[in-house]
Amino acid sequence: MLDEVSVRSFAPTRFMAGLKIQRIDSVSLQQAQFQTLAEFLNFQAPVHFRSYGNGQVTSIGLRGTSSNHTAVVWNGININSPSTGQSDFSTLPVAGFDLLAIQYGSSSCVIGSDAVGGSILLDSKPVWSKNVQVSFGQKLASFDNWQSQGSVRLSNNRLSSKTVFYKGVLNNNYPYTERQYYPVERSSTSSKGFIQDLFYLTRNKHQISLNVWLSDNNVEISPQSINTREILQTQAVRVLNTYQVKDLTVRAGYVQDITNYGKGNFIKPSRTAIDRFLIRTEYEWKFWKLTTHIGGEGAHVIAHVDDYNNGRIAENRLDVFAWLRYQVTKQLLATLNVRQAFIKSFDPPLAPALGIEYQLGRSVKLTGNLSRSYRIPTMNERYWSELGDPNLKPEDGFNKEIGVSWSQTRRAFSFNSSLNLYHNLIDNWVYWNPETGYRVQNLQQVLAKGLEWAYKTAYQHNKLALGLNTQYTYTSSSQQKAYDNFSADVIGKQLIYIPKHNFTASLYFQHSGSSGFLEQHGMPFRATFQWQANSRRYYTFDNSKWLNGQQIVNIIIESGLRGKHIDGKIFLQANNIFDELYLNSKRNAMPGRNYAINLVFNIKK
Amino acid sequence: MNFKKLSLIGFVSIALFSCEKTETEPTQPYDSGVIVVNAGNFFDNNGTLSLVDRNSRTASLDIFQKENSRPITGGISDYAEVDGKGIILVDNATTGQDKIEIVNARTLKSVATIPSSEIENPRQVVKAGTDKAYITAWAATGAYTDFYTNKGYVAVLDLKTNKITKKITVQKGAESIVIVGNEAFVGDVNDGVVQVIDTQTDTFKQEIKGVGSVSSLQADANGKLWGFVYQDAIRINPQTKQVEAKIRVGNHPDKTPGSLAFSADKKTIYFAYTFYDPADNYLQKGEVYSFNINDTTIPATTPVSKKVVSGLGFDATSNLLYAGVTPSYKQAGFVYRYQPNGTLVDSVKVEIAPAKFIFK
Repeated sequence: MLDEVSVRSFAPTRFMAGLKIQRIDSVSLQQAQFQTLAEFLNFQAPVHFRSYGNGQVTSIGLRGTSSNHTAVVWNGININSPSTGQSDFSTLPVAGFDLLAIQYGSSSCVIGSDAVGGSILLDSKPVWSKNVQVSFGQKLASFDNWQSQGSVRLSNNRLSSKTVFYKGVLNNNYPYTERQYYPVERSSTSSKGFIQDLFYLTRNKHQISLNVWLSDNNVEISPQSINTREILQTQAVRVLNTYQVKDLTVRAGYVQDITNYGKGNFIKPSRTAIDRFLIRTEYEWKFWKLTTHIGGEGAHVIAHVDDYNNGRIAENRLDVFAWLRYQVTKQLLATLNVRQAFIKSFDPPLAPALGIEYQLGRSVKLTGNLSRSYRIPTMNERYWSELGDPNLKPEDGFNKEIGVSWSQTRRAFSFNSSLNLYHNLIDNWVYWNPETGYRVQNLQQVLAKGLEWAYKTAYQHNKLALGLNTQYTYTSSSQQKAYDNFSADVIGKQLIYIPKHNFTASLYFQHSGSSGFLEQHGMPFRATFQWQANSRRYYTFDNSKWLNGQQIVNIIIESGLRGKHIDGKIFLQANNIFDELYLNSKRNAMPGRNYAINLVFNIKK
Repeated sequence: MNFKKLSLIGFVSIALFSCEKTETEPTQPYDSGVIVVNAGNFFDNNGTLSLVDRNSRTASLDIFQKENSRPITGGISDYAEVDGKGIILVDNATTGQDKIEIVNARTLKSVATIPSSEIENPRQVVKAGTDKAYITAWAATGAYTDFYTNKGYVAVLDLKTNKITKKITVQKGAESIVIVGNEAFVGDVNDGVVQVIDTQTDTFKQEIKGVGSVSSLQADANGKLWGFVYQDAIRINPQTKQVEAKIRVGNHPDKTPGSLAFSADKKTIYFAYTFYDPADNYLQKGEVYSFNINDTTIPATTPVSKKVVSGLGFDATSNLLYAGVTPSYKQAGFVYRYQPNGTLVDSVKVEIAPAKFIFK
């Protein structure tokens, strides 16, 4: 019963048969508790990030799509800003959630708008055992950068609570102003946040939960002079209330995103404030081998944006969906999903999806998925003064993919490997057209296709553990249709900022103390190498200009001591150890080799 | 005495001999050809110089990077060659990262770099005397509501020491600059005046009021200054400091003239005449026209080119008009070559936003 309940509170990956889902293990999450999702994911998966600088706006791209084609789903709700249709991954700390999964490929039928290239699933997880734990963490890093975290976790078999505060400052006091002649931009970032997750089980096993996440981020570019500095403030309030009564789940949520941008004295910044109220009801029943899940979500969005013609826009959205999961035989699983979104004045296409998984023998699994996806144009794309177009059509994608995975365990060894191929054709791709002064148009048709290969192996024997986790992707993503004389130079060319080849690897070695004091009080010694590499990224549509390929290697060493009620852990991290020159999207150099020390103390009852 | 004379003669002859020697120095890669200034896309900080050969349809790209194994780290707001040195004005999107690169004009090899602490928002550069250049600059800009928050200045660059020796405060948004005799005339994009600087003393001399924001200032065959102010062409008499003529360009309600370029004899002015069409998604539309400096009307009826251009220049050597075309700031631009009558000769693909040409 408990498992059933807890499973259902997470993103409904059970209905995503045939899609590739990469779940990040808790050890990696723990190592990264002071990092942002941007810093972390870059080394965990072959995703491509587009960053404006260290601690500055960083957006993600999955499977050859752009930054607004990835849904970021927190406890089941999409937290992408309705104005930009994306999330700034430099403002999402890893400490904000307990579970993280990357879902590759179109999943609009389950997730809704934006999930054209994939989705990032962030979830809070209740603990149903008696536990009292107070933790404090401090990170000190190069360039006068630091972060502090404090958390309290309380739980028993009926109640689970987690409270987290975090605050950090990146002063970015680089000892250099240039790296290999490329300027290193001066900027500072301060961020703070508060998280409260509360889960409660009633006597008759109804679950009530409250999730709150408040965050505040302040970036200053050129902070050295008040006259010339540029300031970007982002604040978010996310509140979600969930009731689960047997097979019925009702959620009510409120999300507020505030952005202020300005220069100089910052007296009259350009403001964006968006409030979103949403309510979602889902019902699930199981009949024989068939699980049926139906639901609907209504949202009311109010946007106050200085740069919109009207200043204030309000709109209602409604989504209805039905998902089927059919365990045909022990080997064969099929899911069939459909979603229809309604939004005033234009309706996105009906999004169906069919997924199949077939277990071949003990260790091989074959997967396949066909799905239609859509993206509702963002409010900026529709309402931005002069540039936006309220009559844009929704983007309409059709994704096909197949995959094979192989996993095996032999004594102390385990292997896991997978190969996925996909083909995603996206029509009416919305484009801020540089030829028309960046007016928004449904100009392009984009074909994103590629290959993903993953290989994971682990060895564990007594006190020794070794592991290797590698991933490689080949991505070809290009515009398909000509629309004027000069676009011949653009057709078939790789979309900007998307590398064709992307590779990540992490290798770890772990050993637990074998005798004496260390055996009793030591925590395992663990060394992790992280390696990320990608080929050149073009930044002009005709591929005439590019940012060179890059390779970045990090090392993390961790160990600790443990007592009866207290334990302490230390993490030593060296980033970019080969001092690689790599550039952000303003073609300024990113920082060279840098270090961090993280200390974490846990006090348990 | 004789010995002294003799030794003097000897010294002079050695000097002459060594002079001859330098004259027989082998030709350098950038001694001839057309240097194209590609302004780049502002937030990509990717201005470049290309070299176009007069007899070839391919260009050498990013020649600064090629010769110095390092990039130009910003857009290029202007480039000029003064007494054997090339001066590249580098405008980075981030405040405090602009600079000036000084190169040997014949080899493009770096000679010196004026750091960002010395210059902010450099706009145009012009020869202001022997081994001396004037550079207009906006100084740091502010928020959008008060963009030209600081007074502009003209930086005096001494090319013997490669140092900025003085900054002459001028009007806000200082932009175009032209030298006539011992005077520099500075137009702007904000205050709508022209300020005059004495190039002998490097001091402010006087202000010509009520001119309007003049997009470019260049001297014709008679030494008169021409520029465009909104939809008019204006002619300034540098002696009297008066606006002598103000001629409406064409009769299109929205089109404005720009990208002024003189013919080889400085008697014909070529210009772009464009507007952003609200009926067609604000695409920039327009053509290239010309007029004679003695014309009293500018009808703009017979186009020299039907292209929207981002820069014009006239090559006296080949007697061809060079027109830069920018499909977008995210795609390589082209140089179209025309005969003076408007017959298209050929085109060459260059880099991002070709804006200016230096003919050598």
